[in-house]
Amino acid sequence: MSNSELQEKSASRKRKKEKSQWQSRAFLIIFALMGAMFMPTTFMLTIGMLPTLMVLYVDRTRGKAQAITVGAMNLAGCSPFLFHLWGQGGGFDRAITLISSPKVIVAIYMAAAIGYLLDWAMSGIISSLLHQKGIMRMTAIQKRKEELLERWGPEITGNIKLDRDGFASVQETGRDEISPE
Amino acid sequence: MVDRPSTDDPPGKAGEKIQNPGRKALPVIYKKDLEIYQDTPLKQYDTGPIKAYAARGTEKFEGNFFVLVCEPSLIPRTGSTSHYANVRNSSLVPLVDKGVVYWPPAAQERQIFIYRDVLGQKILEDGPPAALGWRPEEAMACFIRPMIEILQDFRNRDFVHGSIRATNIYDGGALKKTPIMLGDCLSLPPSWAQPVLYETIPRALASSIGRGQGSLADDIYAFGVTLAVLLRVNDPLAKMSDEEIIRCKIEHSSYIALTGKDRFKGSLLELLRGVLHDQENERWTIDDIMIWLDGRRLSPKQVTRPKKASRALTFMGRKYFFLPFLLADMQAEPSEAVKILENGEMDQWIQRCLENEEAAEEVRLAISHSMTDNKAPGYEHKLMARLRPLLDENAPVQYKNLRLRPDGFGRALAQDLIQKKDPSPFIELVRESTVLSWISARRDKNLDVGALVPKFESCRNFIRNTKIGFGLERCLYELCPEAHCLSDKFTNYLVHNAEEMIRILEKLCKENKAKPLFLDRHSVAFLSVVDPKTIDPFLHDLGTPEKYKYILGNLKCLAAIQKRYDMEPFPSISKAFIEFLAPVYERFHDRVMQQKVKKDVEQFAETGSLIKMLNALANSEIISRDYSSFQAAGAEYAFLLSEEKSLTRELQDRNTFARATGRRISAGIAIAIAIIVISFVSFAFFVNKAPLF
Repeated sequence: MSNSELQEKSASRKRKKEKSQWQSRAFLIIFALMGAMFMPTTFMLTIGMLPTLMVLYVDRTRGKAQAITVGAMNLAGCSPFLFHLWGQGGGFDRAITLISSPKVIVAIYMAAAIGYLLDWAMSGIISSLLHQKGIMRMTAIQKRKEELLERWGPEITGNIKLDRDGFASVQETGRDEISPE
Repeated sequence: MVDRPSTDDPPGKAGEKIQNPGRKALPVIYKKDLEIYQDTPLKQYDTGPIKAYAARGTEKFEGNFFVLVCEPSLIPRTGSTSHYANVRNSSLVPLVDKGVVYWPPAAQERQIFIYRDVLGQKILEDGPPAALGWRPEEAMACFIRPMIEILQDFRNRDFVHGSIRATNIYDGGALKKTPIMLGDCLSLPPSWAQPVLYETIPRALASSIGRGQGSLADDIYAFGVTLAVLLRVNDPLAKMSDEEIIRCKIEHSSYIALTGKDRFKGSLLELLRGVLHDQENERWTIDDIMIWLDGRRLSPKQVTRPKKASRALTFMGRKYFFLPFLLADMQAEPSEAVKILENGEMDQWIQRCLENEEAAEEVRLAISHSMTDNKAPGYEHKLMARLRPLLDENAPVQYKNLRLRPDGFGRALAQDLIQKKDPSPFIELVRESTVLSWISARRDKNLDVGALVPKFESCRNFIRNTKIGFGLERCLYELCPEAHCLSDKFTNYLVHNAEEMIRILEKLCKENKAKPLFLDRHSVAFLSVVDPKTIDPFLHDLGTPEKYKYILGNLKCLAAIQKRYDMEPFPSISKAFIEFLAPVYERFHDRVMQQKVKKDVEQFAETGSLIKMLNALANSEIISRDYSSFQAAGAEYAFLLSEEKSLTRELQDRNTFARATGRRISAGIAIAIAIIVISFVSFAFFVNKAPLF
């Protein structure tokens, strides 16, 4: 790769990073504005969604699948209380009352815990199933390879130097040096 | 037509049906219609090694016959048979048929010529003195007139007899002198049996096997010599060796040498001088003889004798006055000859004592041209072979022990190869273009340069090519088209064409001699000359070191012969091939296909169809399909390898294997549950318009 191409690539990467930083800043500003406008809801979600935030921080997997699972269940746990809050006018006092209720906080966090449990159980079961499937596939591959070798010979392995007709070259086997007479 | 006994019907068996209890040996049956009595030789018809036997016809052939049984090393003139048969002359022994029979005394096949037994006794037995002292009137009535008619017929039919001599002339069985009968000339190479007495000087200088076809002028000369023998009372050459006879002819001219002290009357003298002229272009033609016969007188030109030197040159202790004699002896001792050539003694002698500036220059040029390779082995032989034709117009192509005329090269080579002699002098002759140099040195207008030069140029290329189908073997069959195939596997057989070859191979395979199945250098070169369409497309395959190609090339060739001549099945050849086909089956990538093809081929072998066997083995559609399937299988194998590699890597840690997938699935499930829950709560909220709890 030439020097100019490398420089261009580096500049492009820099531009993308700058754009991403700008977008996240804009998002933060909008989020802060929205949070200020709907303070009770924001307050309630901030406290209620704490397990999700923790998992989001801990989850290093690509795509943050665990955080999504916990977050979805956590949000589902928060939803009855949010509606309850909105039904009673959505005041900040009411939000504090609700969130300070042990039943509410336990219910919300239990939902998050179910999400965590779901993640743990499902990934284990699926992993086990796919592992078995993988082993079966390996056996099938071995069997097919043997079949191919038996039918087509070692020439198909790619480990032997072949002539243009696909046969081991004379130097490889030496078989053709024999004269019939 | 070959009357070859089959293995089911051995040679003697046919004879048992018509055996004669009075005879010791069973007669040999030819074409079921002729009995050849091997225990009844007819010595009066023998010619050297060619023996004559009595024969009797059964149905087709009526009357009495004699059969000449040829020798394998002396290639007979089978190619001239049709010309001979077209000559209808009552003074020529009638040829009935020619063919090949199994000859029990030799336990091998032999070429035979069948003639009607009308010759009678020889007018002169072999050996000196060769002088009959006929009266001129007798000679005119019984010999000259019939012979002139024969010679006219030969000219009209473009035939050369090559064996006109007193010992090959018969009395036709009459008690008193009647027109003569001329004997056989086909059973031996041209002029092989002619004593040097009956040969012109250039042909006499060549060895008997290497004289070549000759011309009508040579027959006219032989007629003249025979006439001289019939007329003369004394034999002036009786006690002379062949070499002395030739020297006498060169020194004194043929006419003087042959007639000696005998004197003939005017008209016969003219005839003898005319037909015995040593210069071929001055010799009487058949038209001149006819003019003479009509009574007009022609005066033959004087013979130009070789120039005698004013002073002798001493070579090997002998003194020489004549250049041809010196050259002949120099060629016999080439290492000594080189000394007088290189020290300038020879060219000075030619220049000063023979006063031949041109010949002296030729010597100097030849030496200067040869100086470049004067250290090479055989330099002296090559120098003499190059020099002699330039100085002696009668000299044959002479190299080491070979003395040949170009058209006799083929038969001489065949004889040496059959007798297992070292063929290297022939190879050197062709490679060094000695024959071409000889031809270019000829000033003889009767020499067919147009036919000879391309032939020998082709042969030089064949010698350089060492591949199968070329080499010395190819030269042999190009230069001697009448030669049978000299392959070792056909030692006891005479193979003259592709059909005979494949039938004999079938016979050999039936006798469990599978190895001769494969065509060797001789067989390939032979077929390439006699039937190029059946073998030339496969020459590459036959010359390859790759075993499968070689085997398939043989099968292709034999199948081509079977197809071209629409021949019968050859089950023994087919079955013999089966043993060798493993490398050919291996050329199919697909093992299943290999088994299928093998099964098909074995089925076709049972029927003896080489064509079907070949079609099964060399079907381009099947081969193409096999190759594309092989490539697809290779791609699949590569894909499997890659999949196996990644799967192995993933399966190494069971705890982490597919966990990401599980997580993605659980995320999906969680999202679905969340949507359901939120939808339900929102539905309840909007329907009740009241707090949920």
